[in-house]
Amino acid sequence: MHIKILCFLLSFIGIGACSNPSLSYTNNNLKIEIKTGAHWLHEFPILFGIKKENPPQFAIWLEDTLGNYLSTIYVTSKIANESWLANGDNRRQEALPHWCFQRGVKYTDGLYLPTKENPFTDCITGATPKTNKTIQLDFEKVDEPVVIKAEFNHSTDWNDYFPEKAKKGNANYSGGKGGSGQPAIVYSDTIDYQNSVYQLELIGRSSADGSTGDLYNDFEKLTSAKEIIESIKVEVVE
Amino acid sequence: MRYIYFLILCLVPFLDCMAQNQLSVELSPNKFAVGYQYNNFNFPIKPKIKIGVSNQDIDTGFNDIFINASAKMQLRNRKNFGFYSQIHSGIYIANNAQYHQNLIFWGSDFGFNYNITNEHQLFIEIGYQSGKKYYIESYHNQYFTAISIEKLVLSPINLSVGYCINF
Repeated sequence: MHIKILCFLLSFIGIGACSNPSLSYTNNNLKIEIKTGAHWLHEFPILFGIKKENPPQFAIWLEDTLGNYLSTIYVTSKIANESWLANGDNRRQEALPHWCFQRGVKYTDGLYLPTKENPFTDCITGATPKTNKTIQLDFEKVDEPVVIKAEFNHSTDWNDYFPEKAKKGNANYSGGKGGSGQPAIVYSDTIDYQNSVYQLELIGRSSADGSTGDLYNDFEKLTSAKEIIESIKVEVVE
Repeated sequence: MRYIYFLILCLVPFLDCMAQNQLSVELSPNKFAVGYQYNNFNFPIKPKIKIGVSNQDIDTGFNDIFINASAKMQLRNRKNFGFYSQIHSGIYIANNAQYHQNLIFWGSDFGFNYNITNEHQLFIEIGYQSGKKYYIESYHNQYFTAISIEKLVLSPINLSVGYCINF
């Protein structure tokens, strides 16, 4: 009798097993593929020397060829919901500043970051994947080229140029304890449907303290940040 | 907070029909639950139902709901303490501004109970839990339709402490 009951209960295991959905593409769909790099997972200190491997925060969005923000395709959930863990009062404005300023939406505290009370819902949001990521995109109209940009950042990703103890106000200050360390990096390419494959190229690194949306090209100051991704490819499906 | 009041109210109807049964409350880093265990029949495996709130989706709010049924077997029972094991399964309802998803989860735990009196007990449970679901999320606006496969995963470690009262 015990075994019959336990078998009945264990049958829930079968229900718990999940079938994986898949994306299906049609002509002129875009397939955005992010291939993770050697530094996609970064050790984040939790407590008493215990560390957790965290993937980066990132955003992918569209601009027109004049640099005007159009729409966000995907943003990771922590920045979209202000659901940071163990950040205290730190809003993490240094996380993805180029995306924040390009969006240009200022919240009640004067920062360009979504809040818990006003999360950003106008795009796809999810927990950052720990492996390669694919997004399917279908444009309503393809009569004009668009620019796809992507910004990636790890927290506590210190190096000699962006150390943890940098003082606020210094050019290399990146949020202090729990801050970014190395600033966010931005990739971009223009999709004009003349080619079948586009590789987003590194175009700059963001403001270290997140106070502006400017981009800088002093890549010699970046070390592991340049290895967060291996490539971002946009393929036109035929 | 309103979810917690709702959970407690769900168990009030059981108060009248209890004899040697058990009401419990338990707390863990990512959930709060109230439970009812039916003890009043001569069988070594006792059924228990739990309803709780949790925060294991993409926001940090305790606004997800789960319902859990378990089968508990007391392994050792002494005057002051005891050990038990249980298997459980349930449904988790994720609730946030971006999506609403449900998933089925299952797991097993070991527990230790300390008997303050015959009626009042404290307990600690530790175990494993499996709950994962892939789902398609899509977003449409004037410029494009974007589609992505996302994943909802529950914490694999189940660690909770609680208090129960026997009626």
